Amino acid sequence: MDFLQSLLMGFHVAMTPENLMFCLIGATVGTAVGVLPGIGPVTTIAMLIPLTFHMPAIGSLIMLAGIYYGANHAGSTTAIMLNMPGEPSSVVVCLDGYPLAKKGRAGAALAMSAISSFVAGCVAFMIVAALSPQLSHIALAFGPTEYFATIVMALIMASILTDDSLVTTLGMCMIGLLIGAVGTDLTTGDERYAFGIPSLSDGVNFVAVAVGLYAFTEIIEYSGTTAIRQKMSFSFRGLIPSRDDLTRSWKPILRGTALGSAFGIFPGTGPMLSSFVGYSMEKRLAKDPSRFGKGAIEGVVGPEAAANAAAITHFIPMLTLGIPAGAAMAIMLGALQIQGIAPGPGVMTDHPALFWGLIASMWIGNLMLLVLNLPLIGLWVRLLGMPFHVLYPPIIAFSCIGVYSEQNSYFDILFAAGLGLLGILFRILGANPAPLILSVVLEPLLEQNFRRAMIIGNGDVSVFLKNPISLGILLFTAAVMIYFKVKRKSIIDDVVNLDDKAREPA
Amino acid sequence: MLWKSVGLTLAVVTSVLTGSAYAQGTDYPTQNVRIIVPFTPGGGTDLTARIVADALGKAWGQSVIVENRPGAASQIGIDYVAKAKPDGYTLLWSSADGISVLPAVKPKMPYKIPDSFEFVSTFSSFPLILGVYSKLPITNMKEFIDYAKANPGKMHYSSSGAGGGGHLQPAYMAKELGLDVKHVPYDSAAPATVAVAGGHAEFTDVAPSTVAPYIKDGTVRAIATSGRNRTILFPDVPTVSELGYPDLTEDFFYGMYAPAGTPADIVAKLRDGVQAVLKSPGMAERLRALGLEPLGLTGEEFKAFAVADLNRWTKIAKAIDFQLSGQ
Repeated sequence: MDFLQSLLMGFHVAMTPENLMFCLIGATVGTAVGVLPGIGPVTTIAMLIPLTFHMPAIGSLIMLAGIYYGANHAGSTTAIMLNMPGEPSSVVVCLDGYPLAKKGRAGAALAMSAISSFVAGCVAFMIVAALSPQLSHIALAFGPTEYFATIVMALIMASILTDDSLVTTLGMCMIGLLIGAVGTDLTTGDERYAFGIPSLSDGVNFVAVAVGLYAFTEIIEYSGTTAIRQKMSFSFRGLIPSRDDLTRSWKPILRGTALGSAFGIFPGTGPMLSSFVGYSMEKRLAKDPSRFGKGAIEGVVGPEAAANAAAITHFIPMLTLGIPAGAAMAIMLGALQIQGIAPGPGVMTDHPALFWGLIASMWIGNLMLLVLNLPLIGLWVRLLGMPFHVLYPPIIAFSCIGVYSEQNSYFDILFAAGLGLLGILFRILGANPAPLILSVVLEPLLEQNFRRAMIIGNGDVSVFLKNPISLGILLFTAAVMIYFKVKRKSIIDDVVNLDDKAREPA
Repeated sequence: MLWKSVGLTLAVVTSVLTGSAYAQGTDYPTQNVRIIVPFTPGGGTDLTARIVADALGKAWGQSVIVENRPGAASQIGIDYVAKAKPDGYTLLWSSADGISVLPAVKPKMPYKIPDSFEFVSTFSSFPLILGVYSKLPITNMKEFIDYAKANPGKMHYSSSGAGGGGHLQPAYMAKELGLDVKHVPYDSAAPATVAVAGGHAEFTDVAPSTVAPYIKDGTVRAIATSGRNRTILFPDVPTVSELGYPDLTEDFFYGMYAPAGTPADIVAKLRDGVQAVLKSPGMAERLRALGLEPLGLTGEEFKAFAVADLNRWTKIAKAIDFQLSGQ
């Protein structure tokens, strides 16, 4: 088989001692930057670009890719431990990961998250290897109308995410969309809600939003409490996932993987969106959704698997269409170009060794990450035993460096600090900021694709229904909504019936 | 303490007396040099800056650091350098966007071209390629015009953003040729090109390196190049001048700038440094692989080139009546 031969060649390329070393460097560096809140792969990869001038193309790409998925992999560590997502894509992991840690099960949550990342990585790797050529055609068929429908689907599925009332969730979505609307209008070039602040003219810095609403809020809230916070208990038994964890997890892992692999194919969506939809899907499918938000292991492994699968299938639009999915990917594209390789439909046929070598290295890298991360869990859990007044100052410092380095802007740090205060308000009101963050990210995509579709369709809204792909997606979204509405009712009925039975005298 | 201040005074006096000679030769740079790139990492401006910074750092034995200060279509980073201390330690590496296009379409600019800068050296240039969706019955400029005239209001062009060269150039062409086409903005050149490859827009004007893979795989067809000369990547594609539209000629350029008032000898050392990188073995091939043509204009020549380009865009912005708002 042609595909197996290509894959075999890929492993030959990736298994040379030199490339194995680059892969290990990438995975290790990625883990380090993934763990630090705020400091992300973007800055790291940009700093390493000059180094790649003097490296072979395949080696440099293997290393940079390792940093990218390594950071995605490790970003959930601080989310679980400290309620501070190391990477924006691990925002959702906070929802159930942190409650698990509070229950003394941080070790199990970390181990399960590492395992689910590995499984998702393996499956996504197979998908990329087997289907890349076909998948790039699908992405090409997606125009503004199809993207708009996809994003509407994602927003609706993700907005049923938290335990908050529908009004609260939608309210957070709306605030998020408004924050996302700050910046330059794509069609006219006019600035909106920028108030003459240059840093806002291209929209808000997304890392600042995530750091502000999570890391800073967490620290402000802590410093407001006079009592010394209760040290988190941990036991070595809590380090190892129980049989129950495994039985609960395997289905969510597979579902998350499938979902993330699909979302990753389209430029613009990707790990963050996948993790949100993965979470809401698990919650909807769960027998007892009330466990979510209080430390359900499914709420950790499902989105984690989705995010990591998407992080890998995301290389398809980058390599075959030359569209970077985010800042980190854009820099990797630059590194490719500097080596004289034009990203686009020709990569697979013109540079098969590079393409397949990179793909094979992703599987090897995922194995390395698993081996790297599992022994570290004990160390991370011990960190929880550290008093917070020792732990938090360096976290503030790293967060500020990370936020600043995104655009070298002091304003962004102040902006993050302001959002930290807003986050306190949200906590007082009992509103979860996760839907807000997702909306901030999706607003530009939603708006831009809507307006492009309107320009192309001469202002006729029916283009979304006339286009078969977007009609299909919208119908699917409607079906999912109706299905869950019915299901939700039946859950409520069950509870009511139980109550009735309980009231009956024995 | 006393000796220290005496020494300091002496040093200052010597430097004032010897003037330019003081900073010449090995003295500059004595500390890290920062090159500000007004875009996010990864694009053409950033890549060329990193190539040059890497080579200059090796030649000088000093760290030359690329710092990305993106925002407001490169205005933020450019303004940062315009207001920096003119001591040669804060430099600008920019594309034509913020130098000659943005000031033409935005009424209030915080910096002035050419007054805010010393023009050190250009490094490379690239044209825009007019690419059409290959399933359309268009193989040359004449067919392009005929098709657009036969389908008024039904042709769309994707651009890398409103108010940039990729928007103004086709808008001006449409005006000159009397075509009724619509603008569909994207946020960068790659998705704009993919939109044409997938048939979601009918044509676009983008850099050769961006469109090359799609021309090769047959989803996009190249009709013309805006360059003064044909590009090595597509030797068969005629220039707009050859096709009879010399007004549409445009070459975008990358180059180095220093804040106005930077000492002439430092500017000279920078100029020689960039020129040496440009002429280093293999550099021309490396640039051409990126779809760039080496371009080594310096000093007054560079300044005149940039000013002429600014005047051209100002004329175009007036002709198509386009203006950006904002700060």
